Amino acid sequence: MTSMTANMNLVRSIIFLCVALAALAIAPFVMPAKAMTILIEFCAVLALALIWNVLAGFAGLFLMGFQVFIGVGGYVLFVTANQMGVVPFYLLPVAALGGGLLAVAIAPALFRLSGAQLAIGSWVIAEIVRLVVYHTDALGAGGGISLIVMRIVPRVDRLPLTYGAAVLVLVITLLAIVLLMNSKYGLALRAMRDNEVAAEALGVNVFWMRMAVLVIGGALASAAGAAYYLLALNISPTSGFSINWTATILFIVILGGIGTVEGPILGAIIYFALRELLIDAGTAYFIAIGTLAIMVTVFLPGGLWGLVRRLVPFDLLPIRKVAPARRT
Amino acid sequence: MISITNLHAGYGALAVLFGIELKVARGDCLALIGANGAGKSTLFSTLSGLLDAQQGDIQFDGQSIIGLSPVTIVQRGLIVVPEGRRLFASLSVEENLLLGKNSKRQGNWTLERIYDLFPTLGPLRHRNAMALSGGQQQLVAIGRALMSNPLALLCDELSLGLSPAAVDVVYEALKTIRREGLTTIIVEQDIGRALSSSDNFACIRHGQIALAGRSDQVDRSAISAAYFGTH
Amino acid sequence: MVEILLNGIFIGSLYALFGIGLALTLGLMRQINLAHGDLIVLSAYAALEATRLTGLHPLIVMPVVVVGMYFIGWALQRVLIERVMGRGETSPLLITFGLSMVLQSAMQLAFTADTASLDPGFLGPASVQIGPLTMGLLPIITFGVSVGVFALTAAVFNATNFGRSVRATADDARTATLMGIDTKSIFSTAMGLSIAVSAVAAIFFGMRGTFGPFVGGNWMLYAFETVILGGLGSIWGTFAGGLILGVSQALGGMIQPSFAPLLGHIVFLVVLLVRPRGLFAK
Ligand SMILES: Nc1ncnc2c1ncn2[C@@H]1O[C@H](COP(=O)(O)OP(=O)(O)OP(=O)(O)O)[C@@H](O)[C@H]1O
Ligand SMILES: [Mg+2]
Repeated sequence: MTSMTANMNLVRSIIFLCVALAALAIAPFVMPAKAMTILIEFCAVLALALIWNVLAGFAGLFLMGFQVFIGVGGYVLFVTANQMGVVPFYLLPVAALGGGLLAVAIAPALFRLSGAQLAIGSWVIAEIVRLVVYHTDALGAGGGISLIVMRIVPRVDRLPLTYGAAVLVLVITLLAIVLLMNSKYGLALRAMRDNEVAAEALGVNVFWMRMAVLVIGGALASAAGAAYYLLALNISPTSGFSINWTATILFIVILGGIGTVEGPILGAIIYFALRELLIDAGTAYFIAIGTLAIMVTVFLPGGLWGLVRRLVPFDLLPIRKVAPARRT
Repeated sequence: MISITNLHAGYGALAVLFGIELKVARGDCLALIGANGAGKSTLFSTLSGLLDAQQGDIQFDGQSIIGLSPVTIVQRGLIVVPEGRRLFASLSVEENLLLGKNSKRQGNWTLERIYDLFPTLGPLRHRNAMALSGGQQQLVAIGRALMSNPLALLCDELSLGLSPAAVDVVYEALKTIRREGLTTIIVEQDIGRALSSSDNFACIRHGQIALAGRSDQVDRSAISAAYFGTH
Repeated sequence: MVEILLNGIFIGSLYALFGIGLALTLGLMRQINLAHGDLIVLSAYAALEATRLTGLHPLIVMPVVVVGMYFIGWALQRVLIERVMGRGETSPLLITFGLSMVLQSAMQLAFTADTASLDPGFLGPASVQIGPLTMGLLPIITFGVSVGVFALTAAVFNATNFGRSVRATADDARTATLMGIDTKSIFSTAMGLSIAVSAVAAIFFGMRGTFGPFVGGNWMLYAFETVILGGLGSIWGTFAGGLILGVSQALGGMIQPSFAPLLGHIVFLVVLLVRPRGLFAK
């Protein structure tokens, strides 16, 4: 019975993912270039929001300094591609490797903190990395670097290939999350979210769980950041390590609903719609979305997806709700 | 003094108390007994306002205290000595006692009188509260509650984890306190002790009063039937 | 060199004031107000407007600003944060994140993105001669006020009923309620004080340096580093933490101005790794 529901869940997730993938595959043939760039950005930002949401919503890692993975991903990609003179799209795994290593490097400091303190501590770490890059001439210092190697890619191929890269990162992220959540580790993660001490008592190794999620999440986030900068073609410490990255992600996750997989998807769609609609509002736009974030947190703790779920009780990407049958 | 009628309470969907009926006269001491999980602490939480009653009424000193905040209830003169003592770890003994003064009730309890009542505490007054023995901590917890000049003192698990000698000290103190005219309810696992130090008793089982009466005229087998639910 | 160190100490005494407010709410409610820095910036702008309107010296308008900021902090707790307390550590972060966004943009709208500063008037050039050293009067007053605020905080904390109630609530809010302490009012008073004390620092800061609508994030980081450096729960530890941060930044600034925050961050990171509970934790 239990494994039946689990399989059903997985099948449903896969159907949803296939439909989404089909839509994303058709998009480049029917969309103008301007819409394509927005869609690339959408894929990258959505992947980032999904990762942040798993870190904060399940692993208790609320990272205000999440931007560090984005910047590092971009820089690793740019530097290696420029140095080696290869087509940059092939180097996304290298960016991911950079993010994973970064996660390992910062974990000792990060894990000395918890909760709100960990949130701010990660921000300090991101600032350190930003300032170090800012003072490193080899990385272009304050001016940043350009992806000059992109010259070897014919102009007409750039947008479709970048699009492909962004979609690939998004799909891998979604798959990773769905598989993780439906595995026995997903159960451990949810137990951790609900009560860390109890989870530890039940034999979940909270430290290693956290470490694993941070490393995988960091790697994927760096890949997503790299995909975004394939589009931007320029990266500077101020843009790559900007707190605005995390602000955007936070807004998406709050709006959609923290601690669900569907929440960030809905949140990202609404965020991009709002941004394109209110593009002329200037500063007032930030006041509006800030207020919206406050209101949703206070009055809709489950976010908009929580509201939708209450009206239509149906999961697009179900994560197993039932504990595996206990052996006797 | 305290009159509870048809009280229902619980935690969210979990109902714990089902129609409690209880009366305690002014100056009386009621022993509340019952097995683990019967709902004694839950009853205290409801009386103190931490937990909202779902149904029923609680009259205290002639007025209903249903829906009042814990702070107001302390100001009215009803205070709980919580299970496990729960002293404040970063405060000294004396600071713990002084906290009771938050009720702003007039009365004649002062630090000096607490130290007279519990002479062992005097020399320890500047120690950190957690550096005391369990028995001493229980005295501080009682003293802290007394400092609020209460009309009624509700003590949860008075002798939990204490040595027999410490239990004697605590019950000796209770006798003295009762001479001040305080109404008391004590929750006690040691039924013999509970009955010998109280005027009346009530046995609670599965959230209902299974048996109640005078402590000096009680049939032991009736008690054990009420306590364990055997017939 | 000596001058640079003294300047670091002076700035550090202001970071200490930023930090003590954050430490109060962190210790009491285990939450961090992400808009802490932005509210400090708001106090500086409020002082700027008040001096513009009245023509008075920033130090004269300070009491009004401080009281005003107290009520803003109080209301923030009462109106917003209180509604989500008990839902875990995430919700207060999310709310104050939204508030930070709103405040930064609103200040940019109202005061433009340019940097501003408060006119110290006669205090600007005034200086005193101590032995071989010439020291500005303003830094000396600043340091003195900071020490005074810390002494007052320590006294209130250790010897008043309010201080005891705050410590008791921080230990165990539920039992504090049982003992008749109105914990909600303790929380909102603490949040008000947290912002009010920082507002004092903001005005001194504004007389010495510049501020803009977007520096709040950095100020919040400095406040946080101060608290963790000193060790949560130690009042004078926080003061020392502020000084250490100020001096580290001053030394970093000696290498190159933009190194100042970097060296401060690195000192914080090293202390976090070596002594995670802070240098002066009890
Ligand atoms: N905070 C709580 N949340 C949910 N359920 C609770 C809570 N506190 C107690 N309960 C449940 O309420 C029931 C009654 O508990 P209560 O603590 O009132 O019992 P008790 O009579 O004081 O027991 P004991 O002698 O062990 O102290 C138990 O089933 C318990 O599991
Ligand atoms: Mg109990």
